[in-house]
Amino acid sequence: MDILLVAIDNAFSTDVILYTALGIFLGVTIGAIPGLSGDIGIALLLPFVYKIAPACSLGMMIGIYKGSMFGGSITAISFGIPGTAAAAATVEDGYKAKLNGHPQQALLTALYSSVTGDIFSDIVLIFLAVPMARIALNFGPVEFFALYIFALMLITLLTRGKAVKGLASGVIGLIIGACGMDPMLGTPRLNFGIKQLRGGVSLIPLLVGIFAISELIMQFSKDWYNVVIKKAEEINQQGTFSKYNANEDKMSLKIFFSTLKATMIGAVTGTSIGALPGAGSSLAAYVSYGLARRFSKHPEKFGHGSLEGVAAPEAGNNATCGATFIPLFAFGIPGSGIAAIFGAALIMLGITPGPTMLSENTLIIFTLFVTLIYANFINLGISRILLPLYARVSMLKTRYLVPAVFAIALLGTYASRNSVIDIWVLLIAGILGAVLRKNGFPLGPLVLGYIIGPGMERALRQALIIGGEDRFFLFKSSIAIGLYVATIIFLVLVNIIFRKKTDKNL
Amino acid sequence: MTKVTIKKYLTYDRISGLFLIILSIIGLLHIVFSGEWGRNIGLGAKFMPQIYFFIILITGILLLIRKGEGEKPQGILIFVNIRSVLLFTGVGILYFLFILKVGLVISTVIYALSLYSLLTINPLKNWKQIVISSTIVTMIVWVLFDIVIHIVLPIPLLF
Repeated sequence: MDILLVAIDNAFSTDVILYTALGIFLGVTIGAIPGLSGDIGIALLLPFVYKIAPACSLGMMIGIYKGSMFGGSITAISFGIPGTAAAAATVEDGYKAKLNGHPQQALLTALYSSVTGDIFSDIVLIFLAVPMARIALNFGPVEFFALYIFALMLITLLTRGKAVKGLASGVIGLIIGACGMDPMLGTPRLNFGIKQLRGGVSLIPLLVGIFAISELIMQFSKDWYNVVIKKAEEINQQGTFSKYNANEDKMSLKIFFSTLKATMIGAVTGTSIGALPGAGSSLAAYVSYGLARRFSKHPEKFGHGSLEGVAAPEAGNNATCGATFIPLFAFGIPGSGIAAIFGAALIMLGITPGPTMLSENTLIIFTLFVTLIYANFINLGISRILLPLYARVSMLKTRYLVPAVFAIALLGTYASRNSVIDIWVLLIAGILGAVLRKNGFPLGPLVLGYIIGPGMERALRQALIIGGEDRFFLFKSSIAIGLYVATIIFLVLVNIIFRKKTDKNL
Repeated sequence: MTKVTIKKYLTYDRISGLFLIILSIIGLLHIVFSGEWGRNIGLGAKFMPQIYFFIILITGILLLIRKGEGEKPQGILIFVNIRSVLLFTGVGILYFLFILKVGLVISTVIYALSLYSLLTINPLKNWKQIVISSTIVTMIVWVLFDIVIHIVLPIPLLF
């Protein structure tokens, strides 16, 4: 109880609140710009984690994450262009609602349902993380190996019909993670004769390169500025603004309660899906939309500007925010790219994500939990006030944004270790990430493979040493067998689901 | 054999597959020829990287030869379905190991018996199904052999 009070005191200190608010402001801005996402913002912040107090840096990262989730819906509703992949499902009804003369209702519905979904998943995280960490304390090398295989297969299989590419991407991540040193004996390997790579490929330049640099190369080649301006001109020509009546576009409690059911469906769905490694916020958003339509009293209104069709995906995608940390805190396995970056930040702060994290670093983790909850209310306040400003942010010219983001990435990466090799890793990782994206390879499995690779190898080799001559030692634990069976079940289920979808399309 | 032009065949997927195959070959050659890899306690430093590059090789082959959407099967494919290719390859490797384990004579006898029993119990019309099913039955017999008699495998499964 004392620790909780100290944690609350830490979390509500002026510095932490200010950094969290700044993070939310930056996050919504980043999310509102098509082509940028929370991944980039948090990755860019990573090199600066050393320079800021732990609670402040974590608060800022949380703010960027939560803000970017909502920010993507602003351009989705205003221009029909999702600011982030997670907001793609919001375009369906959000943009139509705007064309029907209800932009403010749509935007505020998106905001309120995002915050509601987020709070729900944060509460679930707080109540589930501790019991799951206790279960994980019973895990030995055999169980951890099975868990790593399960997580890697899951994140591979859930990459929307690209399982082979997801597998290749995951294994490329494992190979990158194997560079440098053998985790058991410290034997140098795969360092190509470069002395500085003996410690392995550094985490910060790899993550910043993969997420930020590759995104810059890919997305900004599309010249989003012209796309957004063209859309704005189309809207003007349609004469929508001349028909706009502000009195009919006011948000009320009645409207909020009418969308509450869809919001809660999104919250529960998003939390469940967010807890699965690799599932992602865009999957959560689409599934939430589908379920809300199914259980709605007026399913025929979906696709024609229904506010329920805005509330459900927004609650769904934001509900993944807290849930995505469940596997990270309980098992040390990041369930998404953003969780991987958070994991990297925790490692930099001397906290090893995993089952012992909660017992060894109780104060900082409790501070994190409190920050997660109140960040939602700060998001509500800031976004409510600055909503008109954010819609204009998406019109920023890319010729100013790209060099600025690139410079921050470069400087931040060099500042972390003062190593030139990190710059090379950053650039090579950026090119690799861009090439992989261009060819349809997902990046989530790559990051997961890099992070869990050494741990997985260590677990396997420890298990085989402990097992001695018993070839079936890996299959003698009931928890491990359960995880292998779960992997096979997911393999079969996902295969059936995606095959049905392909057959339907044919 | 259908005539295939290079332009039609080289889609993004297949170029990616080719790249992965080349990467895996370079990786495996590097592991074999790059010199001392340290003491081999347990499995050694090169065990997992070999597995990783091997998996990359398989995924590269899959991307290279699998059918794209709307495409007709290309001429270099012997079978229409990639699953058949993998099944045949996998079963073929297992059968080779089985022969090494119990010898050609015994394996032929068991194979013939399983073939006969399958033909009589469940007449299969497709020759591919017959071959695959009998080989799988033979494999099952091998597994029972291993568990009951505990004979050590003649070749190591892990390199």
